[in-house]
Amino acid sequence: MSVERLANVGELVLRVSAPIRAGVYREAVRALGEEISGKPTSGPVAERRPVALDAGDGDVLLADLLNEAIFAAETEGLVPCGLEVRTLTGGQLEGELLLARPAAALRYGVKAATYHDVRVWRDANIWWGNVVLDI
Amino acid sequence: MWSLTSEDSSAPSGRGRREIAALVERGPTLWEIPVTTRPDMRVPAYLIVDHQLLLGLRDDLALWQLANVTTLPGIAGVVAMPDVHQGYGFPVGTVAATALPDGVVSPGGVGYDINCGVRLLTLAVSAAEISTVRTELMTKISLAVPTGMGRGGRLQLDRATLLRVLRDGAPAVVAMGMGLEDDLAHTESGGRMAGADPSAVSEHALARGADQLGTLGAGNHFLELQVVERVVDAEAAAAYGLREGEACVLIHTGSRGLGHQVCTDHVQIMERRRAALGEHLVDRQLAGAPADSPEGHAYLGAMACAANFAWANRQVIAHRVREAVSLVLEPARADSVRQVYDVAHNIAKLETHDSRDLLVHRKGATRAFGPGLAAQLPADHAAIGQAVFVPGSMGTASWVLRGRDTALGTSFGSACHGAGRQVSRTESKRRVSGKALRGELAQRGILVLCRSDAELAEEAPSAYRDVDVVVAIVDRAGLAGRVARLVPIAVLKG
Repeated sequence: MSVERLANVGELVLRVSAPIRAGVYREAVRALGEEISGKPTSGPVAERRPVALDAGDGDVLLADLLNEAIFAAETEGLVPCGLEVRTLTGGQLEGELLLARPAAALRYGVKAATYHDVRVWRDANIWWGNVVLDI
Repeated sequence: MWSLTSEDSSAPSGRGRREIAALVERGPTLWEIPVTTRPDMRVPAYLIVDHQLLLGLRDDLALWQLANVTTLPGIAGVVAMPDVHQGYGFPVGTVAATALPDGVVSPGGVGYDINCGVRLLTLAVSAAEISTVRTELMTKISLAVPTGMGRGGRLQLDRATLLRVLRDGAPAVVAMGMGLEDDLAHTESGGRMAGADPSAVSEHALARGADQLGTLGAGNHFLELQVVERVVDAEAAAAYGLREGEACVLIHTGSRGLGHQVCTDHVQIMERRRAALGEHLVDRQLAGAPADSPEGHAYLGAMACAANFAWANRQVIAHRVREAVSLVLEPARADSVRQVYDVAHNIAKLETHDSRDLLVHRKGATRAFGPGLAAQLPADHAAIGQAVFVPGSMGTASWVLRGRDTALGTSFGSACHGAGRQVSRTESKRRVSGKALRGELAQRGILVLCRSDAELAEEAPSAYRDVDVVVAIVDRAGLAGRVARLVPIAVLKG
């Protein structure tokens, strides 16, 4: 699994890869948490928040999932550190967002995950995800 | 004729190239992307830039994105400002007008930070006097105005009060005893946009906004203590209350998390609508709906709420500045703090241009109305034109300009909103040491209040274009005329 950060003027592009589709969403959540807190955050998990999303397609699902995590970070100061996926079908996802309490003040004002160029796709045996964050 | 090519990572297999051929020079500060450039364009797009700035856009997707904006249904005109740079969907620094009733409203054409804008206050204090109390004043302000992500303010609004703020904007804050009626008279739209519909604002948005009134936020938001270095237009400066050698405060912030969530929510609604109708869009972030549709009405109602929240936010911050002046100098000096004006630079407004009713989206662009639209200006500015603010990067100058009637024919009465970012935050941190920058600014006599050196480096002056160059183009293009140059002596960075 990998995460690549591509910085464009005024925004940040997360490009993640994983061997399975669910892994793309997991990695994106972890990468978002790292952007918000300034460092990798794997736990300890303070809260497991159920999520049930129906985004219409898998691309938009990626942005919608991250926007739920952004909401938790901004309103409750919790850092998204993982995702457990129970079901993933097309643009529908059910699972739990894993949230941690940060050790220090949250760093980044990530305003939103945008729909610009949001994609989840498969290339050979690797799944990729691309999402632009407004920061 | 020019041909510019931009790198684009949107191709599934990796990097691709998006070529904009045949830019046509229409004047020394006006370039056209002809409507024939791509088969899906409905109108040409225009850029108000000079040759040098155009070269700087070579590695920027803004040109391609401008062409994308021209594909929107009902589009009447698209104009890029000299500070244009790539965004998502719409480039930042774009004015896009759609024709009512069927022309679309697009949340992406306003941006996530709805009614991000700028407010300028004059302090009626000399530079010499303010320098003796600068640190104390800025410390008091920084304690009263939280900065940073998600940081809540001193005001914890109950639901009823929050809804009132969404409906009534800055007047609701003045009614709470924070500010003057004169502030409202010197705020765009009186600090209140009509048509606000709190029922179109989600619970997520209300939750994000509930404790953020009176906060600066993060990123490129700031509060600067400045001095009027040079008056260029004495008549306009006098009307605006600007005097050489006197202190001012410039406030740059917007609707915070509430506005961000409104945009997120309504882009989602628009995208669902697009998918259900099977409509094709070259970029999902452009998603919109006819302004006269249920989705269009809902977004405009929610956008107005967020705009009102932003005006209320800047009103509270201005009040905190007055409180700080009262404590550090004396109460009577706070009474001398006057508002020059407050402008929005991420907003959509219903306007009439050449007898056409248009919805004018300004994303990183401000109104710049001249004296010909005096009815929409403060009475004491009517003969001069609207005050326009162009903040430079941290540590560099800001400009006050006056709107010109000639802007109506060129840019739907609009001007730029800043110097324009040219380097990403990551690259800026790579090139610039925040610690060294802090020291350099201190040596130039600028006090910086910023939590981290890394965040400081992200906003380094080198990350932005030269504001003097950008403003000179705005002036030459007839959008707005230079009035006064302001220089910072202290910065509270968000």
